[in-house]
Amino acid sequence: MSKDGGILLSTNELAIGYGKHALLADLNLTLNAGELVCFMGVNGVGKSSLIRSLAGLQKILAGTILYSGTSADSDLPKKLSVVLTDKTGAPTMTVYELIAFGRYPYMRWNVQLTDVDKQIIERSIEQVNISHLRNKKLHELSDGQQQLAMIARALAQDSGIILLDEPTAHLDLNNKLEVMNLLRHICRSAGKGIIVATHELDLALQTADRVWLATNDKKILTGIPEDLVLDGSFDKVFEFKGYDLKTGTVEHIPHLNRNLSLTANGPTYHWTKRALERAGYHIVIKSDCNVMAIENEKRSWIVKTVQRETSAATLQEVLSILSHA
Amino acid sequence: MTPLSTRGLWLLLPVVLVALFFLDLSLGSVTIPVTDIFKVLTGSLPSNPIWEEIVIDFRLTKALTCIVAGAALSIAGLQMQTFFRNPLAGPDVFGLTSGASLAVSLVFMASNVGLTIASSNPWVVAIFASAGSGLVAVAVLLISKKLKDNASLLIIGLMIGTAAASIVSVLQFVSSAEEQQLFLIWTFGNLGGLNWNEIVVLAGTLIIGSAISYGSIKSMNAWLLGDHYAKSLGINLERSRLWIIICTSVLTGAVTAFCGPIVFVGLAVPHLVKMLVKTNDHKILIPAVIIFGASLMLLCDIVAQLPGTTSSRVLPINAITSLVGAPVVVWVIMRGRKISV
Repeated sequence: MSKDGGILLSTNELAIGYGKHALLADLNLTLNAGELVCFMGVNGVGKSSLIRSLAGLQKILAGTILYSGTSADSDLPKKLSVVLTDKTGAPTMTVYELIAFGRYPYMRWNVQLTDVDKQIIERSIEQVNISHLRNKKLHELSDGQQQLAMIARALAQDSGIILLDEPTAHLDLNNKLEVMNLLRHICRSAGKGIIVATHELDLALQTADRVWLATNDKKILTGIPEDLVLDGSFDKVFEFKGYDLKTGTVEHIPHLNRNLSLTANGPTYHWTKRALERAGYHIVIKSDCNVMAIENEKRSWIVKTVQRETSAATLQEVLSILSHA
Repeated sequence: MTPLSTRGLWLLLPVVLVALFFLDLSLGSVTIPVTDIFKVLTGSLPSNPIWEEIVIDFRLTKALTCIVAGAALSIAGLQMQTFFRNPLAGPDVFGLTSGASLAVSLVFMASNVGLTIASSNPWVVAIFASAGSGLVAVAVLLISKKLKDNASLLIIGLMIGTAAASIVSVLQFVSSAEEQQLFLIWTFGNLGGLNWNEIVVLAGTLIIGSAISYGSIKSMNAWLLGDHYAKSLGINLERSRLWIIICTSVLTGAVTAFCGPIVFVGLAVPHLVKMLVKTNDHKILIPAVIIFGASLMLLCDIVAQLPGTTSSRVLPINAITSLVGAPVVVWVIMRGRKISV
């Protein structure tokens, strides 16, 4: 484990896939210590295959993969750990037992935990903050807790590289954030290099140090997320349908064909605009119909049309007034 | 699991085993006082000299066969359940015993299809049974490499078993009544037919099998996480697969060869043990299933002899293993415990 930003993993002209069919080819990728890479792409592009290939679990079709400068050998489990989407076998296994598997690469045939092993297991449990779960059985855990336990197991493997395949799938927003923040923290504090395969754009854009973006022509673009947003790479790959990535909003067609002007500030402006646009109004600078937000101790709105002025306590009321106007 | 309950279990299980062992020795169509059984075992002369022969050559051989066969089948069952990550797996479910049955039926009934195999030699039966279960094991393994999902594999195991059984039916159809009866009696299972030489061979197989199994605890534990994770932890999947297949076929093949196709023990014992020890660590599970399997087999043999106290009739062991084992497993599931591999 190095904290000097050295290259933990590099590929040279790597091609991955099944049989003669390459999913991704000509890959020249690097992963640095202390770096969180989000590997993104549409479903079916080969995210899981690349993760398995990099982990040495799937035959590569061409090219080479180097781990800290050397090719895969029997020491690979000490350099690289994985969290996959595979279901783990035993529902009656406890969290501690699961995490202890992380020490297997260091154990002899008789699987005896040494004091050092136990310390590292404890450290992993603390890092992931799940000491309250240590004696729980896997089938008693929520999806998010299971994912944390799997991450703790990977940490116990004490490898410089951690690869995760869709670690936030099936999690709710809070758990997603928790997992991603944890991974970021591990990168920074322990100088590990982490690759997360994910299709969750929002999350990846906000947490990744770098993005590997699988394109539709079997290549992978790399760069920091903001650059890839601004140069339109994401738009090309994901072919968004009505979602504007640069502003982070869903595009609405002003189907009501009615113009409104809006007078408001800050978050109130933002959310009022969203409500009006979603309802199909077109927000313009000047109009004879105006919605004005009033920010006293209690927020309210005044809808002013040519005929009259009506006040509203909620946006729902605003929409209802407008629809009858 | 707390250390206390572990220790308690390790005290309890051997005590149960020893108790059942002596109970099994003391039962039979001839009533022999327990004190005389002790006398025979310690080498002194019992009150009736004929009792020495009965105890040494009949009851002791049978009780030891129970212990060895029960232990061997339980290890095989545990290994298969871990290997396939399927709680329904067992040496018999995956057609290993069906393969052995087919091979043995060939020995008994081959003359009808133009082959002559020396069926009088028990070693020929043993070798054929091992080869039969070994071939099925290899077939299941090859198919398992293609199929990732366990349910399909289970069906394929059943199909192999059914196919083997239908070939046996064809053989039976063209066989004489005598040959059929020989084979039928073999399928009932028989723990009492072994002489001391055969017991030594069977025990030797068990020792080798247990050693291979115990040497594979690391890979078996890792398999619980699935192939990918096991490999990512540095387990050599191909090599450990091969060892487990060899180990399971030798254990199942040897028991089937000498005792016939004993059903259910290999399936039930690992589940019952997991209810007791509540661990997934094969370091504990392997010795536990050995002792528990041996005990259950002794218990089944004791039950099989119950009618024998009034007559000389002993029930077929296979009827008993299912009769004793099935309700226990059903009861365990009904109590809402999660069955797992």
